[in-house]
Amino acid sequence: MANNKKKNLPPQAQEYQAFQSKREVKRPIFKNCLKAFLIGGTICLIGQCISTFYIYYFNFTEQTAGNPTTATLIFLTMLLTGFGIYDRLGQFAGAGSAVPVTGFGNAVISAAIEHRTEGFILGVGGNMLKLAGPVIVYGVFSAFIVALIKTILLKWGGF
Amino acid sequence: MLKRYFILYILILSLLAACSNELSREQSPSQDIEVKHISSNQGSSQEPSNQAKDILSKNEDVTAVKAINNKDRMIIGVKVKHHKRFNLEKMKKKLTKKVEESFPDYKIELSTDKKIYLEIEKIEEKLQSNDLKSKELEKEIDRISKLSKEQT
Repeated sequence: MANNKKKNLPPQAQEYQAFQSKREVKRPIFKNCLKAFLIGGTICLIGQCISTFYIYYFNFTEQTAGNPTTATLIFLTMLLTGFGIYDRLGQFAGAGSAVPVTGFGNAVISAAIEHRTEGFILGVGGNMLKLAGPVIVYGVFSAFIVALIKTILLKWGGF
Repeated sequence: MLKRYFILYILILSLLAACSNELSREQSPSQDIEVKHISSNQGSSQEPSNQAKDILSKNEDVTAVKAINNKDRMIIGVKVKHHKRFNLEKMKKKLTKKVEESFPDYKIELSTDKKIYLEIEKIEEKLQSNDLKSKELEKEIDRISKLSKEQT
């Protein structure tokens, strides 16, 4: 499809594209992956520490400690987003800071902060889930599909 | 430049940490795990639990085991090798079956959960120091059983 588009361009534009693609600064993919891995891993490590803390000092099992851990991580993200620290972390780590649940929290809270001048109902309330809403929708949908596949495999697959 | 060194430093550090871990494991060959036998004067005898611990500790993949029992129920907490945790459910079934075969009169509840293990450890200590009456033991077993069944 990209090639078709290129063919439709005037020759000068094609020349220009060839010219600029040679001089384009290449994305440091390996470095970005490494950063995402390290920062994402660190966030998960913090999550694991919080989870272990709940298991040791409160009445939570490994099974149930996940809920308060998620809540705590989102609360911490809320503070970090409010203070503007999470933005910098996101700039540095990219997907490493977006994939864990903290990224979801950041998406909700940054939208709420951004639209607060438009009022609490149409501003904060209406825009809070602008980015996180699709995440929830497709998350629930894909969970449904996966559960369906699992049920079919278990019931009729004989596993 | 500084950033690059920092990343390199972390990489080397994590590599070294992983290696040293492997070494220490190699130095101490897999021995039979330590099993603490409990003897209590109060309430029901903990002999069945002690036997169950011996049975489970013979399994290669089990790294630690704690157990308590009353007249008709036994609660066991086990720790398994980390890379075996992928098959936790299967492992749990296998171990439960093994204990059930040896103790058909008992209702066995085996858990691989860390919290259950910690709670059983606490009760074992209390039993050992004869701090727990049989009624209290009953209550504690009920509490742990309920805790292990919690889903959310």
